[in-house]
This record gives sequence, structure tokens and C-alpha cells, in this order.
Amino acid sequence: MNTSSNHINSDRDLILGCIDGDRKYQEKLYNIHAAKMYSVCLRYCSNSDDAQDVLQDGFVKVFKNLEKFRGEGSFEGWIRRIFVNTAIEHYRKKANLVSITESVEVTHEDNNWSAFDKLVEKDLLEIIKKLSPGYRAVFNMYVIEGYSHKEIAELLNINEGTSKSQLARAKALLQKMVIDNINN
Amino acid sequence: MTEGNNIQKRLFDIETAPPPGMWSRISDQLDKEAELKKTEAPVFVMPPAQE
Repeated sequence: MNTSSNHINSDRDLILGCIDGDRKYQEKLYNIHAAKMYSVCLRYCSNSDDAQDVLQDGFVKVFKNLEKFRGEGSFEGWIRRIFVNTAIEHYRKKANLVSITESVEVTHEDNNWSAFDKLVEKDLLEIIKKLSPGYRAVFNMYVIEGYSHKEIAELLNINEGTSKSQLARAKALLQKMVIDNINN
Repeated sequence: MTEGNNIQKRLFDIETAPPPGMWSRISDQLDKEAELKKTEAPVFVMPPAQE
């Protein structure tokens, strides 16, 4: 028996059940993906209340748009993109947009990430949360999700140069916060 | 992308359980949206005027 094929069939059944609006299937899909997607939401939001709002809106969008999933690429990747976009929409509604357009001077760029290895994931997330929304969005999109500066610029409605300078500033701030955290 | 690869690997797949009651919130929202869809007025398209 081909277990891989069974897995694909069960995913397909799950998706079809959700498209039919069957709550049991939708709850199952939620239970499979909620923990990972909640982590995505927490990375983009300043607090857990906002992260829960994004989680709710993201899943509603997933269920409303499931029939548009063509099976190209991974299903989890498709869902994750919806959550990142929802978090960005949320950020654009709430954030002080001045922070994303301000000019940032970074005198030197230190790409030494070794200090980050000394912290557990939970502490890293707490430190990322302390970044301003603009820096946090660019850092998450570029370093964690792997978007290009061009994609970030389009999604955040900024230019590529701003995306690059926001990233450099975010990294410098993070490194400082990590070192302060280790020393305290 | 090569920089920060280790931090990317560590944070990309991290899992955090949402608080209890989140599924109920989502389910209620889906119910509300389904109800709204039912009560939406049907779209009536005017036929072209006869000359």
C-alpha cells in the first residue's frame, strides 16, 4: 500500500470537506495548522491579542479561499502566505507608517549572528516582538520567510532601498538587544 | 538568502498553541459570514434600454 498516496488523498479529502463548509473538516484543518500559524502571527504582532485577531482573520480567509488552492507547491506554504499577508494588512491598519518610511542611518553592518544561538526560541521571539512594527515586518519577511527586498517593497508599499535599510537597522537593534539580554 | 540561516531554521517551524477558545471564535465568525451571504440581496442586472 502506498502511504504517500494515502496521505495526499486524506489531504484532498480534508480540503474538499472544508470547501463544502463542513465544520468537522475545518476544525481538523485548524488543529493541524493552528500552532505553526499562531507562531507566525506572534512574530508579526506586538502582543497576543493582535496575534489572535490575525489568527482568526487568517483562518477565515483560508476557508473562504480554499477552492483557489491549485495544489501547486505545499499546502502549508499556501496557508502560511495567507497568514503573512493577513499580518501585513493588520500591520498596515494599525502601525504608525512613519516608522517604515523614516530614513535610517546604519554606520556599519555586523552580520555576526552567533549571539542568537545562545538564546532559546521563546526568548528570541520575545526580543523580535520588541522591534517596532516596521522593522519587525521587514525582518520577518526577509530573514524568516525568505521574501526578496523587491517582494517586501511591493507588499509594504515602500521602495527597495527602504526595505534594505529597515532590515539593516532591525538586525543591528536585534543584535544589541540579544547581547543586552545575555549580559543581564 | 544565506545570512541568518540558523535563526531562520530555528524560528520558521516553531509551534505555539493558541489559547483555548480560538476555534470557537473562528467557527462563530464563519457562521456570521455564512449568514451574511444568505441575506445578501440578489444582484439585479438592468436589461439594456430599448430604443
